[in-house]
Amino acid sequence: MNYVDLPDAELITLIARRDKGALEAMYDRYAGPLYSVAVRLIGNQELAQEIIQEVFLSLWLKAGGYQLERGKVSTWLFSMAHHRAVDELRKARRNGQPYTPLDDGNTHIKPESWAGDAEFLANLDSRAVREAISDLPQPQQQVIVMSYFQGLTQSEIADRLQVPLGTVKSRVRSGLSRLRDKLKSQGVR
Amino acid sequence: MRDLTCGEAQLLSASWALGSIDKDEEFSLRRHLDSCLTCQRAESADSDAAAMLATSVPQVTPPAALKGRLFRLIDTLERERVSRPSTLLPPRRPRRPFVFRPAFAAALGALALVGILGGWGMMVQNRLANVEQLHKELSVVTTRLDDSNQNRVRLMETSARLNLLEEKHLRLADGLRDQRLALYVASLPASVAKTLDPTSPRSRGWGMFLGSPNGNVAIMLAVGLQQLPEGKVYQVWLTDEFGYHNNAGTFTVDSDGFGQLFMRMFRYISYFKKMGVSIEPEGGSAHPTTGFVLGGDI
Repeated sequence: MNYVDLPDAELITLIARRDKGALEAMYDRYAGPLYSVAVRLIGNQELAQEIIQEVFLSLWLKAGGYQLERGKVSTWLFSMAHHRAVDELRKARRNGQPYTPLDDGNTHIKPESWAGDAEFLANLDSRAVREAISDLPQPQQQVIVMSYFQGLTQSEIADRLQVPLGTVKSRVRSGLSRLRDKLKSQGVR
Repeated sequence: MRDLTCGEAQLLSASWALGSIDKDEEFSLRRHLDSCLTCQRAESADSDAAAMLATSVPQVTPPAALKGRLFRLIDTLERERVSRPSTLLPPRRPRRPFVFRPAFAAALGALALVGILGGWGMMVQNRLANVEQLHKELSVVTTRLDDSNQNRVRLMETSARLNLLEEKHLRLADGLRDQRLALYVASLPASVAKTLDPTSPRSRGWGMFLGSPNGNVAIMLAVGLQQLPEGKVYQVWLTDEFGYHNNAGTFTVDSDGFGQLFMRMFRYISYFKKMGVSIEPEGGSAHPTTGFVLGGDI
């Protein structure tokens, strides 16, 4: 069977039937991007490898329970990897370990020096997403990056920015909606 | 705990998708999403947008060895699953005779549910304790290994076993989570319990369906079903008024004949009129390929 051309929905159905070829195809398709987001968040390649291993192990064990009508398989995988990476990031913070992102020059955004957002945006690979983020008003860019790429909770963001929690929630909500609409208008799905 | 409005839920679903929601609000949001298709769709769109952010980071290639490690671990897991399916299960308890009288089904059903959930919780806790004990013992062994080549190999084997135990630990944690979900479904204000009876004299066991007609989540508990051979699973079907059997998921039963399935349907539960359980190949079927072993009106 040629797995390479099969859509995600068919691959996950095959994985639920314990088809290792399908799992391998899914690994080849997504391991790189998932690993990249984990490394970007926690800056530790060994830990990122553990996260990727857990994500694909979960995929193998839980594919049978996946409900296609609830969303895309890729979204599920990215969500699992992101949530695990955020957990590790928060665990490290609780244990007093410093956040040490990969030393790739300019991917670390310091919330207290938000003027660095241009550096961050320049480092994004996807032009469409870069443009969509840069089109957002600065306060919305800020909370989205602090949420997604720095793993901060809404309360932590409110504390750091010295703004009410409700303001953070509404900035996150409106920022993500605008981002989604912008990507949609650019044909990114 | 206060129920969220759709406006509040959609405000929070963006934070949920970005991973920044605070824990205390996460449960309220999940509870709302379980019963609101509109907000489920909004949440799905938010998660898609968040996933786009993930694809935008600079690409780093994972080491080639990672793939080999993953598939070796999966091979080990599969061998473990086939050769020792219930290594960590506690000793089997003697089976007690079970008398089921349809006339008292409704009253017995409520009592049985409490008993099942309690017993289930204790069983899962016991198994969890066993795994944790084994985990501790293996950790002690691991710390005694030195750096010699021979011991390095043993360390790798121990590490693989620890991974397996951790995976079992996760599965048991899943069991606890399912138990919480069952309690959650039971706590919904309009939840109803319906019994599922054997459909032929050769069938055995019985089941209970629990769900709110106004929501799209429900749980099915089955007791006394026979364990199926390798490659077979029980599959649950919800039948609508047009007689179409809608797949609600698959489940297996443990050595006590107990199984459960948490169902999240694409329509409100009130849309479905009957429920049935058939035996299907692993992975499930698109339509029932065998007669129902349990069935009933919902």
